[in-house]
Amino acid sequence: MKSRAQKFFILSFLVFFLQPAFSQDHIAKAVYKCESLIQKGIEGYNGTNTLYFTAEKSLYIHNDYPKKDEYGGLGTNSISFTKGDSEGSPIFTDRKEGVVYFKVDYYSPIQSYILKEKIPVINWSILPESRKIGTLQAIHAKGVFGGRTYNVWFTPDIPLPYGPNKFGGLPGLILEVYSEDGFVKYKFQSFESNTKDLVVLEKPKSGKEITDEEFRTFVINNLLSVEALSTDQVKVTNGDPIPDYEIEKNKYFYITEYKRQRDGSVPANPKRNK
Amino acid sequence: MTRIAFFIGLLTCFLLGNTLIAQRGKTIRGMILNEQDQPLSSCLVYLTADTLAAPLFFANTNASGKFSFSLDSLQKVWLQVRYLGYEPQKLALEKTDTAFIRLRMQPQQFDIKEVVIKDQKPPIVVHSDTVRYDLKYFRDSTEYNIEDVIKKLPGVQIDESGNIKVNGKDIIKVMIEGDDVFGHQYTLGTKNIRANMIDEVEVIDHYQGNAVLRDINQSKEMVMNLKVSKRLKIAPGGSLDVGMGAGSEWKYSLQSNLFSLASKNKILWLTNIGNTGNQFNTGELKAIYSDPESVDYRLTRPSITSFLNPVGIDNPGGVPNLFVDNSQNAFSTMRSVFTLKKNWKLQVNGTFGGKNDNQATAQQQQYLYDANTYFLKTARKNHISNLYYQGETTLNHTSKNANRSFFVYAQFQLSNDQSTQGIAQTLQNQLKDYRSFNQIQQAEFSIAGLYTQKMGKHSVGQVQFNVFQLKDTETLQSQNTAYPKYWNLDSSRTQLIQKLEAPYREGNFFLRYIFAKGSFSGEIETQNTFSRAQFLPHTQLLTTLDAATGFPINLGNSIVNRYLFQQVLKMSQNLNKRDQLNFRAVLGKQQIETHQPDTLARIPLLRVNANLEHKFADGGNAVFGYNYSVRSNTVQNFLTSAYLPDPYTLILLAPRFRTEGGQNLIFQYGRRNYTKFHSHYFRIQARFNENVWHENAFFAQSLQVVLPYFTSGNNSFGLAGNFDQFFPKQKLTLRFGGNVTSAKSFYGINNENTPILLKTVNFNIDLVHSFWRQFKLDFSNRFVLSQNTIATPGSLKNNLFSWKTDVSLLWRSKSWFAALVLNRTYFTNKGQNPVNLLTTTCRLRKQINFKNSKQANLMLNIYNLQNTRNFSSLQRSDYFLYLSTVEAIPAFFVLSLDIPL
Repeated sequence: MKSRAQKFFILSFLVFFLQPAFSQDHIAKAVYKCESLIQKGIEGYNGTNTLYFTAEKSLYIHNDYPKKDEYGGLGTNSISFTKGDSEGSPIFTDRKEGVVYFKVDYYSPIQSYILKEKIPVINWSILPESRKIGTLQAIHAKGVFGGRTYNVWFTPDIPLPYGPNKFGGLPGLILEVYSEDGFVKYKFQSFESNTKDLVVLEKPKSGKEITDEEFRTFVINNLLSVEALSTDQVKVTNGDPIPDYEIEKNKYFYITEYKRQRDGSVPANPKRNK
Repeated sequence: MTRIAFFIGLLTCFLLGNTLIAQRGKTIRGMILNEQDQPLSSCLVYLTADTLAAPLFFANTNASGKFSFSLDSLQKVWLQVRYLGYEPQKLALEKTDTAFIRLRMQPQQFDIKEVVIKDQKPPIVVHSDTVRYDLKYFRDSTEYNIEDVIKKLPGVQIDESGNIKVNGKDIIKVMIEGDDVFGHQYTLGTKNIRANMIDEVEVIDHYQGNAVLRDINQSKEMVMNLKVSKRLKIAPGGSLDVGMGAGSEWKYSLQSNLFSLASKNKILWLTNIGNTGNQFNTGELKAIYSDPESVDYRLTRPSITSFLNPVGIDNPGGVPNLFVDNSQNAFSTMRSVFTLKKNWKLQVNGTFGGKNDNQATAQQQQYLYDANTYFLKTARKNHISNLYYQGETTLNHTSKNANRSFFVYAQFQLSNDQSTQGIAQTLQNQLKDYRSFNQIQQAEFSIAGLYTQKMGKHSVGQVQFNVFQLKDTETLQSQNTAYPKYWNLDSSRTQLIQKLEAPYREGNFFLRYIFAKGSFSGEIETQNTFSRAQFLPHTQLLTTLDAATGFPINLGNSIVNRYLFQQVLKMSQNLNKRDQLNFRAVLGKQQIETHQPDTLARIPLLRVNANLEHKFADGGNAVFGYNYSVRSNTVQNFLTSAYLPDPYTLILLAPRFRTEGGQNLIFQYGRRNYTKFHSHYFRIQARFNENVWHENAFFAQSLQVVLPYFTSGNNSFGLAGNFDQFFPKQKLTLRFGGNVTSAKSFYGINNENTPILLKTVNFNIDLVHSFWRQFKLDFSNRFVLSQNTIATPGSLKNNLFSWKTDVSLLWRSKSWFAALVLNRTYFTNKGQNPVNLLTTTCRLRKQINFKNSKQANLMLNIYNLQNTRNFSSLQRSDYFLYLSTVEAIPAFFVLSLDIPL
């Protein structure tokens, strides 16, 4: 016969220790469909994307991202290459630390790099329109991110500041994202408050974690090694990716900036890299 | 003295301090705890305005569960707190709230388990109070006018006269691209604009057309906005539909819709000419759809005593109009909106309508409670000719900062309705035969103005006037071979000419003060009305009479002057976020003065309504109300047709007044879920122990007298509802709705307190199913069961039952479309003498594509395929049962071409 004190102790233990454990186990899942015009060939960011999240962390996975390196257009003059990623090119957000980890495939055909940056701050304007998306009441907001203006629909019914890709910072989950130039489009598909998917919310594993400065050095070294192949007759060089075909179109100007500084003709534009 | 000075100083400091704090800004701080009083971190906390869901400010709680907002100024806002897995919390904050907020969250009982989006592009989008329907999801090419598409939208109901309701709530305006071009007569648009001219329909709730009132008075009005097809927004255009056909006579039709909406000046021109039964009815031109409670710059047309009723096309009910309407119609309306300057708008509208028709009808009328008392058979041949002209203009200005606005409205209307009738009547086996000519000529002019001025942050003042003038001349010439049997007059052929001139004038002046602050809103209105109605009858009998009969009696001229002074007080208090207390009181005085005979009545007016309204979180509402009133009810006298077997005198009784009142209870619950493609609502309404005026119309010595009588202890109960569901996988739409009413009322049959039980059950079910892409079935059924009984033992009981079925079978390929439409209606009373109506229509259409991506349609429609000769229906009023029969239009076809312009 257990004493009352013992019962009370066990009950207290259950209430105070099991409750946080139970809450932490709850991972919510939102599924999006990305319909960007960014990748015309092999599907990468496009297709199904999944966001897993708790109150403090989120993990965004591109489900249709090639699991291994893929080549498109073989046998033609226009061969395309997509760096595969077994983790689905994840974007991991840690609200406690205020940082986001993500993978880049930019000029890194051999190894994936994991970059870390502060959670982007988007200056949203919340607009009065609202509409139903599924059973969720969504509210219209507008903001600029990565050089594009976006119209998004978020829902306070899911009161966490996440969204597809790196979009977030609104008082509720972002359900739909439309860039005004028509290049980027994310549409909400489904939501589960407690997913049964076996997923761990942690930063990407496969790849080398480097700083932004190290990554920039890597890109420039890559450029210099390519340019070293030049002869008097043939000049070989690299350029930055075409901005329109990047989700953050104002981000990857490392080579352009470097060339500007090197050639000395045009002063570097410090705003560009922000 | 020192103490007083100290107190004043303290008070000044306090007041000034408050002001300074308000000017400096304000910080809202608080803490969010879980159910065990532990701080909840990363909790979403945000502020919203009173009416909008969009957050104004938001923050997340820190590790110790705390949050803070710094605001420049603060009006009444809602603080909302959300955390996944917990019930959302909402707290009203007033301007003066400064206390530290401590909120405890409770675990959510029903979490958002799963949301799945099936459709990529929703046919229905909800933006705050606006619901937008994309019509391409609802059209199936069988629709002719926009009304035909609107009735297919989930949650929208249209009755037979064209009144539109959305989830049970009346639509009071139908606008085109945001402009109210049709005013009170919105069926001019919904019945004449072609279905393919409109791309989107918006339903806007809480619409406030007067910009000055937007922050003060949250309107309860609901309007509909039609958005025209995209190509018409770029350049002027429209459609032209020209048709020719034949049956027992030649058929023709021309319908054109022309729009010029591309510039800031909008012009619409709608025309409909023809004799195919698809045309607009001139009766519609005088129809008014408005809420008498709403403040509008146009005066709702006063209810005016009429001598004759215009004769129209008689449809026994149950069959589409084109099977009985053989009339030649011409209708054209031009509506225009000019933006003169940024905040100035001028509307100019002009309308013309004409109708010409012959129709043969027959009717059996029997007293509902005893067939032996009264049984009248009537056969008529009518020729009607109606003409109608209307012009109206509105000038509207709203100041740049929306601090003041004014509307000036003027309209004139001319109409001439005339008919000749050959009538044979048998009453109690006595045959009477006569001919008559009716003519109603009316010239109407009205002018109105409304000035609205913001008087402060929380108040608005309004001044409004209306002046209305009517010149009404009604003539009845009747020729009767059997007058002696009616009038005990000479046996020779008799011709009677009756003419009534009834000029009417009315003037209204209103002063209104509207106030709203925080959760309270109020309105005070003063109304002054004067009206003068004159009745100038002329009677002439073109036969030498027996002097002893004294016929016709010289009625003399009579004048009725009415003065009304009343004050209306409306108050509304939000008790909390869901409950609202409403109070309305009308206090006034009415004086009715009649000359010849001379009477004078001074009548006090008192009406009080109070109700408590509760709103449910997801849409429904419940109303508990109490009504009390002291209302007069004047006796009205009409001259009536001369063929009734009564001598001729005028009776005018003094107005009477008694206390009306009772309790009412309304419970309404509605929900629209557009992503799951369903909407439903139901409403329960009960009235208890009501004291009400009834009106008993009877013939007294050739005059139709409307005699009011007062009854008490009336009870009624009603239940109504509607349900729409679309099943995307099965491509199946299911709609059902209906109402049940039961009332015990006291009527004046044998005496003024004869209790009658009235029960009605109305039920409709529609099913639309696309079996596969090319084939579609539309099957709709409407059942009405109506029972009335005198509530005394052994009394008569009537059970009227009608069942209406419409079946459409549609087939379409890429450019071809074919449809077979069957309508069947069945009527019976107590299962005896059933009446069956059947109509069939066949439609064929070929789409022709032009190089410029425009499309034309070549159509063949064949009506009355089975060539039915007449249609009958069974109907009842409170006192009579009618079996009405009309001659049907023999089978005919129309070949038409619809060209885009």
